[in-house]
Amino acid sequence: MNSNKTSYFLTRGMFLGVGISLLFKMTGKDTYIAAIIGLILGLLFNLLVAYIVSKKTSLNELLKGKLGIVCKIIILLVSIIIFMYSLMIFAIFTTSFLLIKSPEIYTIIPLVVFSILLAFKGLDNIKKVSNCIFIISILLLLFSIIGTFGYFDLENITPIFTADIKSTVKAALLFFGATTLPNILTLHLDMNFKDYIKNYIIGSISIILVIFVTSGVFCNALLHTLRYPEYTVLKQITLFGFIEKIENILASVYLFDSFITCTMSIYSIKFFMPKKKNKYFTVGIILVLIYILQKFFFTNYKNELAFSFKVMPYISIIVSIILIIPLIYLIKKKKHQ
Amino acid sequence: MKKIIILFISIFFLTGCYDYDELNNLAIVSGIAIDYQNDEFEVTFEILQMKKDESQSTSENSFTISSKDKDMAHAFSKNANKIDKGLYFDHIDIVIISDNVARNELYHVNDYIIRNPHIRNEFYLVVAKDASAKEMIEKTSEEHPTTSAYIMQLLENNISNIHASFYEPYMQTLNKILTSGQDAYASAFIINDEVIELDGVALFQDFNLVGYTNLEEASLINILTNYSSEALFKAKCENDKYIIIRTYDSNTSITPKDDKVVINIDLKAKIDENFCDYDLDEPSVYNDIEDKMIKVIEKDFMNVINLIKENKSDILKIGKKYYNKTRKEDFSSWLNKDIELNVKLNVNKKCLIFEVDYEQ
Repeated sequence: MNSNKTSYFLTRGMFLGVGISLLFKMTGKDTYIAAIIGLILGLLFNLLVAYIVSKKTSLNELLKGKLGIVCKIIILLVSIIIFMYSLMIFAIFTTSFLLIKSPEIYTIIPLVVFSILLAFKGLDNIKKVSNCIFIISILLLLFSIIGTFGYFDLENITPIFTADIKSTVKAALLFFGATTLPNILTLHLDMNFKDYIKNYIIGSISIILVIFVTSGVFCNALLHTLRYPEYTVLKQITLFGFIEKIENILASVYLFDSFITCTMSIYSIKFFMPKKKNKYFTVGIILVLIYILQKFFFTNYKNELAFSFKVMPYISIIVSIILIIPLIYLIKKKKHQ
Repeated sequence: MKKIIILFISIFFLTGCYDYDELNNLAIVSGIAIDYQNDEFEVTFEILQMKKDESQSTSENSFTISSKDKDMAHAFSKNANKIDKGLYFDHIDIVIISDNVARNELYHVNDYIIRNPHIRNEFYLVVAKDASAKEMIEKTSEEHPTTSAYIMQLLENNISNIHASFYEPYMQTLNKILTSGQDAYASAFIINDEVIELDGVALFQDFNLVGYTNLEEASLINILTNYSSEALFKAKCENDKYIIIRTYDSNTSITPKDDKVVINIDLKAKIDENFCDYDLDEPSVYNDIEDKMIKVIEKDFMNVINLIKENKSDILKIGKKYYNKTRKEDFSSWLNKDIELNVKLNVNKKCLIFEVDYEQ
């Protein structure tokens, strides 16, 4: 199989716990409409990303000169932010539902260890793992959506277009940013144009379906209230009427997203380290970042909340737009040479 | 070596051993009863206990622990001081709230329950009508050693008798409470002759209980909300004789109009008892029965609808339907509108006999 499903997971990587609940906070039951607008906007923008990804021969060759160095720094910062963010949402999620008593730092250790291991094994292995868990992810996702459809009530999503335009635009931009920013990491991958766009569309539609089904199960007030509506909705699912409490198995799709996003960000950090002993540098940076997370975020919910809900949405939108312009310029310049 | 280190790390961090608890060290809470009296919450846990009898066979048993405090969080926490095991809330079947809690304090109870990560919000909410919730949860017997399991089974199995019970996961109840133009209802229980008995449903307006129905009214409400289809209707003939039909299929649609609310009910029924002089061999007789029964059914349904209106409980989602149509946030406007009720009845099952000549 030649296709590379890594970008499918990257497209979904920022949604667990923060992305979806933030979107619901903005537009409530009309979130799926905002998400569709965000998908269209994101698709237009990601055509450019797909163009860069498919046209570049190697990232090192593309990022040459002063502008290239600036882009390198931005991509490195993006990788660090995405790494911290994916660890943070993973830790909040696991300590909210699965390992309530465990300290956050304990829960992220296996994720970090396995992500480092996979990232150091190289892009081919990341691709293989992504392609394997893609099938599991899609099957679990389909099962979740079909399972929740029994609780779907059209009354919950009607009447439509009740959210104001300002909120809808903000939510659409957030969806665009959240699906696009982690995809910056696909610059490391060798992907063709069609593959990239296909993965982006599948990833985005899977999120929109989750949003749509959740809106149909919970009323507007609950969508605004619940911290993890996309997980809470899975609690309703029973298998053949007697197998219950399968939400944790179904929720593993979100953990796969965090895992691949985390792996790609580690790979990206390693890529920008000096060639000699880049593994040691990467592990060193990761340890520092984990220390920062533990010191300022895991032990301080206010910082965690501010970073996830206030800072990250703006970063995702602004950085996505800012980074793509010089990259387009660089690829055009290279083409003329 | 690297692989061994990773394997070692996996054993410690992937097995969730930090949160690990032995089953023997867990007190599995199967039901919670919540009362509110003298400005204090009283929270009672029903805890499952496996007991070995003389023949060494294991039987299920339960015991309760109870604590009082000014708020839910403290009352919950105090219970932990009365048991030597870790309280485990993932298997809660039933939460019983007293009439007083249902009328005035459900908002506070709800905030604690949905905020608490230890409680799985898929339990059924029921109301203790003429007794305290604590009294009810402590009402165990040899036949029913666990009250919460008894109530849950009663709710689930009642559906195959006459459909007077109503149950749904708490998140669905909360969904209705929080939706503007829609209200919730829950099954109500009483203690009759030392036995816990289903008595009808409790009607809510937002977070507050506003009234009760009896069993017959509850089964009609279940038809109106398309929750179930079975109800009994009785019509009198001459000489105090009567005929009873049982509906077995139904479909209700509610349409908001400018000046009235139109409720169409499509019913299919069978004859349960016939002491009137109807010749059930004659096809045209069924039309006569239908005409006679429709008047009774319409009257019964109108009584229930008026009861719902009197209590201002929008369990039929009529306010939401008006909002969907007009987008005006006047969710109680339907209370001032006339109700047009159209019942379509099809009596098409006579059961196993035609008629019995009792005078022979």
